[in-house]
Amino acid sequence: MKRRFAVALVLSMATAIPATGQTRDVGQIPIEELMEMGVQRVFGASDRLQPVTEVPSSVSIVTADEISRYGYRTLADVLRGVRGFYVTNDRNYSYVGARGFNRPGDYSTRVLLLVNGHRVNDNVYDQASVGEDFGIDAAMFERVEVIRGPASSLYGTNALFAVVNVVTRTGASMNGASFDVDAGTLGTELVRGSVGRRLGNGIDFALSGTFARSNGVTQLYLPAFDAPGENGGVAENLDGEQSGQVYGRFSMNSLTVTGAFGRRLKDVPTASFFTMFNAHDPGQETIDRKATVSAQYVRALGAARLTTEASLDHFRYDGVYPYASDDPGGRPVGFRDGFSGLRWSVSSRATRPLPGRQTLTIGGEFVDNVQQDQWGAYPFASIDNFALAQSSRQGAAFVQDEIRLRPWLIVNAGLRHDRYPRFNRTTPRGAVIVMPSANHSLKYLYGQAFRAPNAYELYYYRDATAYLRPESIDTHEWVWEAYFGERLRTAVSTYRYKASQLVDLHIVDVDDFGFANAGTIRATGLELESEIRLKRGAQALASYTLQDANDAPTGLRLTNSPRHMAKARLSVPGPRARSFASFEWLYMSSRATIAGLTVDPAVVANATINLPLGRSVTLTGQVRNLFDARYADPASDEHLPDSIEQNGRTARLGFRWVFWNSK
Amino acid sequence: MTRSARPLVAAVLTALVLAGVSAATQSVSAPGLKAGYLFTFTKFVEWPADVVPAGAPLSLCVVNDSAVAYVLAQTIRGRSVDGHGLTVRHVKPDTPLPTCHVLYLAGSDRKRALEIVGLLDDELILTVSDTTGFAKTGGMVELFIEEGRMRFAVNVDALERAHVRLSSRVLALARIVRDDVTP
Repeated sequence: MKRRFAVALVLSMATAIPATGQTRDVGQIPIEELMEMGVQRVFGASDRLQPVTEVPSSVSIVTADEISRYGYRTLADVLRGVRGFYVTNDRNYSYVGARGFNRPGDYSTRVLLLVNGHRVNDNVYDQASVGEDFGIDAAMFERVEVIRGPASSLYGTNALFAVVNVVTRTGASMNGASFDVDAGTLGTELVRGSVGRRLGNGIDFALSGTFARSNGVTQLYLPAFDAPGENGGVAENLDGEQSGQVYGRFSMNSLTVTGAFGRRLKDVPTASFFTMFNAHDPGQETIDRKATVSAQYVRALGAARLTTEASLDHFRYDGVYPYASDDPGGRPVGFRDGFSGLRWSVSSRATRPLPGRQTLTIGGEFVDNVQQDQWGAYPFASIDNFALAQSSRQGAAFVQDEIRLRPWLIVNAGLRHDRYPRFNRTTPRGAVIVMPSANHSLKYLYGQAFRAPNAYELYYYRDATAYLRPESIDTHEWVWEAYFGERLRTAVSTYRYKASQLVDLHIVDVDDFGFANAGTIRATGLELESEIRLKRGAQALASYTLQDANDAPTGLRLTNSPRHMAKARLSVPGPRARSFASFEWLYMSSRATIAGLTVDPAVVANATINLPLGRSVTLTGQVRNLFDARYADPASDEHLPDSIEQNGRTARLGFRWVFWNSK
Repeated sequence: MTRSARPLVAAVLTALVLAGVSAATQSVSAPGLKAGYLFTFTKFVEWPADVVPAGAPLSLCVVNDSAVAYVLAQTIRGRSVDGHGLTVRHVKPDTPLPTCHVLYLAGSDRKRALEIVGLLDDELILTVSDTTGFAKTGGMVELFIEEGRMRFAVNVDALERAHVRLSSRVLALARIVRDDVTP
C-alpha cells in the first residue's frame, strides 16, 4: 500500500505541478483569489452543482443576519421586505398578501406557513399567523425561505400563492447565552433570554424565552365612530398587545426535537363585528395560543436519505366581544368566541439519486385532527350560543422526480394525492429549466394547488359539508435568473394564474350567513429584483412588482391589491467592527377598499443601527416609519371603518448582553 | 476585524489585477486548486476541543486522488491550524477510512461518494467532493467548474446536521444549496 502510494505520487507529479512550471504555494492564496484563478483542466462533462438557479421555483431567503440588521421583530416585518409580498394590519391580526391577493376578511389561508418544514397553519381557521401570534420570536429564526407559486404537489392544502418556511436556530448557531432588553415608544417593552450551545458529546440545545408588551396608541381616533355618545371617536387604551414565547430545540445524532409555545393577547380598538365602541368592562380582545412539538429523524440508507417526522400541534383562540346590554345604562355583555384545535401528524420522505441523472423523492403523510372545536356564548342562555366538536383525518402520498436531460436542461415533475373525508385531490406540477450558460437560467413552471374548506368554513355559520368543495388554482410562471460574478444577482419573473371555486362568505340577510364556492380570480404579474453583496458585509436589494388581480365575473380589481410595489434596502458597515446602518424603503400604490373607495399609496421608511459597545454588549436603535407617513390599510366588512390607519413614527432602543460564548 | 481586513482586501485586489493581467501564469492545476481549497476550508472550520483535543493533529483524508493528496501534502508542510498539526492521508477506494477531520472524495461516482458520507453518521467531519450533485444530496462542500473558474457550493443543512461550523467568510463566497426538499 505504502509503496504503491509512492509510485502514484511520482506519476501524479506531472499533472499536479502547474504546466507553466511556476509552483505556487496554494496554502498562501486567499480563498477570494482561489475563486478567481483559471482552471487548466476541466474534469467531467457537467461539473456544475445544482445551484439556486436550478430550483424549480422562484425563491427568496432572508437570513438571521438580515433579520438582525433590519431590526425585524416579527415574521410580518420580514415578509414586508420580500419581493411581491405585502402585509396589512387591522390592529388585531396581520395578514399576508402575495401575487396581488390579500382580500380583507381572509385569514391568510392561501399561504402555507412551515416551521422547519412542518405545517403550522392552524386546523380550524387555516390561518397563517405572521404577527406576534406566530408564536416564535424572530430572533430565533436562522432564516426564512419564501418559495413562490403553487406547491400543493409537495405540501397539500393552503400552498396556493407561496410557502413560507421558517428555519429556527440551533445551539451551534447561538453559541452562548444572551440577554436582551428593549424599550420604545407606544409603551413598548421586551425582555429576552436565550442560551444555546453544541456540547462536546454531540448534543446541541437551544432554549429561549421572550416577553413583550406594548400599549399601542392609547388615544386612537377612528373617524367612523366620531358621533355623539361615542367618546368623540377615540378608543382609549384599547390597542395594547402582550406576548410570551418559549422556544426550545434539542438534537443528538440524527434526532432533532423542536418545541415552541406562544401566547398573545391583543386589545381590539376597532369595535369589529359591530361590538360596542370604546367598551372596557369587558373590552374587546383576542387571545391566541400555539404550541408545537416536533421530532425529526434523518437517516442515510445507502445512497438514499430518509426523513421521518412526528408532530403534535395545539392551537387555541379566545375572543371577547362586548355588545350593548339590553338594560339601558347596563354593563356591556361579553360574547365569548373561541376554538381549540389539536393535530397529530406523521410524515416520511426519501430522496435518492437514480440512474440516468435522476433524483427521486417519494413521501407520505398522515394527519389526525383530534380536535377542531368551536364555540360562542353569551354569559346567559341564548339561542345564539353554540358549541361544535369536530375531528377529521387526512392522508397523502407524493412523488417528485428531477431528470437532467442535458447539462443545460432539467425537467422536474411532481404529483401528490390527498385524501380528505369528503373528497380526493391529485395535484401536479412541472418545471423545465434551461441554463444557456453557467450563470443564467430560464425556468418555465406550471403548477396546480388547492385548499380544502376548513372547519371554520364548514361548521361555524352552518353545516356546509354537503356542498363546500376545495378551491383550486392554475399557475404558469416564467423566471429568469442571472448571476454576474459572485456579487450581483438579478431575477425577473412573470406569472399568470386563475383561482377558482374560492370560498367566499355570502351575506344574504343579517341572520343568513354562509360560505360558498363562489369566487374566481384571474391575475398576471411581473417581478424584478436585483441584489448586490459587497466586501465588508455591505449589501443592497431592490425589487419592483407589477400585479393585476381581478375578480373574473366583474373584471374589477381585487380589494387591497396594490398595482405597484417597490422595495429597496441597503445595509452598510459602520466604523466599528460588526456595526451596521441599515435602511429599508417600502412603497405600495393605492388600494381599493370593500366600500369601493381607495386608500392612498403608502410609503414607509425604516432605519436600524447595530452598534457593538465593547466585547459583550450590542446596542440596537430603530426608527420605523421614519418620515411619519400617514397611511391606512383596507379593512374587512367586520369593521365599521372602511380602512384602518397604521402607526406613525415609532422608535425603540435595545441592549444585548452576550456571555458564555466560546469565541 | 474591519481595520485588519483592509490590507487583505488590498492584497486580494492586487492579486486579482495581476491575475487579470497575466491570466496564463496565474492559473493553477485542478489538483492544486483543490488542495488550496481543502487547506483553506480546514482553516475556516471551528474545531471544538472534544473533536480535536488541544495539540492533537488534524487529519486531512483524500480518497482516490493521489494528485490532490500530493499537492495537499506539500501545502501543509510546516503549517498548523489553531495550534493543531496537520497530516494528509491518501485513501484508496474500498479500504476502511482512517480517522479524518476533513474528507475529500474524488471521482465521478456520486452514489459511492454518498454511501461513504452516509456511513459517517453525522460526525463532525467536513466532507468535500468534486462529484456532481454532492452538496445537493447530503454532502457538505462541492467543488465545481464554472466559466473556467473553480467555485464551491455548500449545503448548509448538511453542515448543521453534523454541527460543522464553517466561517461566514467562506459561506459568504459559497453558492448556498440545501437538501433537496425545495419544491
